[in-house]
Amino acid sequence: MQSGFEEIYHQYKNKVYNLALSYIRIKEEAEEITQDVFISVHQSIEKFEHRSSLSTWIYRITINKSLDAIKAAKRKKRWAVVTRIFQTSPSSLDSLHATFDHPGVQMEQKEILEAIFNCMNELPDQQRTALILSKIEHKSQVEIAEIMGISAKAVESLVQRAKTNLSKKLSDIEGNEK
Amino acid sequence: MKSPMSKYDIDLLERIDRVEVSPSVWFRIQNSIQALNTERFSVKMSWTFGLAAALIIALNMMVWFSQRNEVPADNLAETFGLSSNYNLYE
Repeated sequence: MQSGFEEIYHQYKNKVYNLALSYIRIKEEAEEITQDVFISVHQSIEKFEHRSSLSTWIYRITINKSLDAIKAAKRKKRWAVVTRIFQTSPSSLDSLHATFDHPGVQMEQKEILEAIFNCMNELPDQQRTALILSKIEHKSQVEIAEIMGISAKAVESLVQRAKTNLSKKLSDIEGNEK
Repeated sequence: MKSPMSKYDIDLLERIDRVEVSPSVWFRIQNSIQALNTERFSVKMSWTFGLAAALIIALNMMVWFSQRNEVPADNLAETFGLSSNYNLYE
């Protein structure tokens, strides 16, 4: 059991970590998510019914954990606004300003990609997931459909809408810069 | 879809490098799993000890009740400060 789990970990660790990074973009947070994903895998591997492939199952857990982490971070941010009123020390707010620390992004593209990721954050969860899996993870429509539990046609439409919405948001930013 | 002059090119997402996860994550996972197993074991043990204690208490109470019903008349008379010759059952 333990050696089987270790094998699964070494096979999927980088896929899980990179997918988590696409959502969170902070190295330490993505490591936390990777840790949570594999603890969940360890806890429920015996209940895994093989109705989907192992990789699809692990991708689903990673997506759910990442979206949960984003929701938790948003709650924390909202709470920070409240505590800021009562607290004079800025220490607890420092970590919230560091929102982009993706180790896979090159320095010269950091600023542009940070803006793109920030706009992606405003997309609905389904559109964001479809875009991440297609553009960053290079998954086919059929694979994305299996991971998201929807039809390939629905994936195509989600990716299309995500691209349109993202382009609109990015051209707004560019328009504001000029 | 996107303007050819746009600096915010969505296709840049395709060129993000894949990165390796730090080896420390594996050790953290192992520690967490070990802690979870220890916690599960102690919860299991607490239940076992709790049930055993409840069983012992129940058995003791059963014995105590059965003995209480069998108290001889002499002892009862003593308890109520009566002479042992006093016929309690009349």
